[in-house]
This record gives sequence, C-alpha cells and structure tokens, in this order.
Amino acid sequence: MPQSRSNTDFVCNSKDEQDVFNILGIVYGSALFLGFMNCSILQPVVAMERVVLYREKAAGMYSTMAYAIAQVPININDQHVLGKSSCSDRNNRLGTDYEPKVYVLQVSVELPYMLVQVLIFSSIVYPMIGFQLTAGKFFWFFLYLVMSFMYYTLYGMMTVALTPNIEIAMGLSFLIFIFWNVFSGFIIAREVQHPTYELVEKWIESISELMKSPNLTK
Amino acid sequence: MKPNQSMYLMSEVKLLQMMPVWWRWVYWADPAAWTVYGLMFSQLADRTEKILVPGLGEQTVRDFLEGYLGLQDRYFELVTCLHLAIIGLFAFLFFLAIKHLNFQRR
Repeated sequence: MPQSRSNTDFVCNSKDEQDVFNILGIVYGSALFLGFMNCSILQPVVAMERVVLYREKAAGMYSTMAYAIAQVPININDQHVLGKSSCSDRNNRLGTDYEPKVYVLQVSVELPYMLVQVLIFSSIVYPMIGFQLTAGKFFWFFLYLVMSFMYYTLYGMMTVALTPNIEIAMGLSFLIFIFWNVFSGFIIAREVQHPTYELVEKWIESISELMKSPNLTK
Repeated sequence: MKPNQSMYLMSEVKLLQMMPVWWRWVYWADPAAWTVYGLMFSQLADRTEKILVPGLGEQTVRDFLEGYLGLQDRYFELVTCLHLAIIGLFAFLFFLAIKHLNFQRR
C-alpha cells in the first residue's frame, strides 16, 4: 500500500493536525449534507400534504392541530360550557378530539424514517472513520445525527408552512443554508476569540508599517 | 515539517484575525455549527495523544481542539440543549404557521 497510515490509524494514532482536520471534514459532511438532502426532498411532500389538509379542513374532517398546543386552555374552558353549546360547536369540539393526531402524525411519520436513515448511515460510517467502538461514543454520534436530522426536517416543514408555495420555501431554505454552511466551523475555522485590543494593535501596526514602506514614497 | 505548510497555516491565522469580532455571534446562531461542535467534541475531546501542529510544535488533541477550533468543555451541555431547543422552536413555528396562515387558492 502506498499510504503509510490507514483511516483506522487516525484517531488511535494521530500524527499531526491534518488528521484532526480530516475528522472535521467528515463531521462537517455528515452534519450538513444529509440534512440538506433530507430537507429538500421532504419539502414537496409537505407542500402536497398541506394541500390535502386544506381540502380536508374545508370538508370539515378536522381543523388545525395547533389547537392541541396553542389552544389547550380554550378547550378546557369549553368543557365547562358544554351544556349551552350549539350544534356547530359540538361538531367543532368533536373535531378537535381527532385534530391533534393529524399533525402529530405529520411530524412523527418522519421519525422512523429519520431513525432508520441515521442508523444505517452511522453504522456504516462510524467504524469506517475509525472512531473508537465504544457504546458511549457511538451513542453521542447517533444522538447528534438524529437531532441534526430532526431540526433539518422540521426546518423544511416550517419553511413550507410559512411560505405560500414550494418555490419560495425552497429559495428561503437554501438562502439560510448558505449561511449555515459557511459558518458551520469548517470553511471558516471557529477559533477562540482574541481580545479586541490585540486586533486594534495589529491594525495600527500594519498601517504604520505601510506608512514607513518605501513603496508609498516612491 | 515542510516550510510552505507552516506558512500556509500562519497566513490562515492572520486572515482569521482580520475577521471582525462582531461576526463571531453567527457561530452561535448556526445549528449546523452546533452539530459540528457536538460531534467533534464528543468524539475527540478525551484524546490526549500528541499531534504535531505546524508553528506550535507538539500539542494534545484536546488542546488543539480548544485552542485552534475553539471547542471548549464548558459549552458542550449548552450545545446539546440548544439542539433540543431549536427542534422545539421549529416544531412550534410549524404548528403555528399551519394554523394561522392560510395560503389556500381557489
């Protein structure tokens, strides 16, 4: 083999800072790429689901689930005035019993998909990178990937819900992803903050050097 | 160590110091940066092997993470909690938006 060290060598037997940067690159890739993909694949599906929701809502099948979260107190209050409720009220209340399930379903239907995806991905990638095969570290890796998938998925769903159509939703999410990408700590390394006076000193110094330089006078 | 390698690193360090301080908060407004932080820190923070860092000599992996990449011990729990918080926030905004906004066209 032309290479003197294999991948598995890397964490067990680090040689220089390049090895750490390799790991950083893998981590960056797995934290961003899969999430982006998942989010953009999911958006058209969620947009379709919303159209279906509008239709069902108009047909009186159920109303919105946010009742379940935002209007819990209101529903509790309604219970007290059950006696004098009108027919439409009763229908509405009947509906709200079923409503929560719809949106909880929409979020939780992503969960098994996400978990299986992360499980497959991490069980292949984790030993390939050469990370230590201990339960604790694998758990952290798995947990962080699941959480990252979860916010990407919910972010995709949120942008669809916030915008009138899928094109705007995709544009918005890609715009934000550019910022997430650039400032994720890989492209521009995140480093410990330098005191401001140090920066000022540096600027003053460089300007004074420039003034002194013969290039300027010639 | 090759000389051009160390020069590259030094110039990079210089460039980073030029980045205005007031842009630093963006790292903390970025969920992807939290994930990278959490993954890197959980995997490599307990490593104490020496690695060769151009310009700085031998350093432990942990010191390198802390000094160059800025991955510190004290923010690890915060980063984990931030993940859960942003999941909650996005879910809440999704519910809120789908309830109150109606983009239905007839």
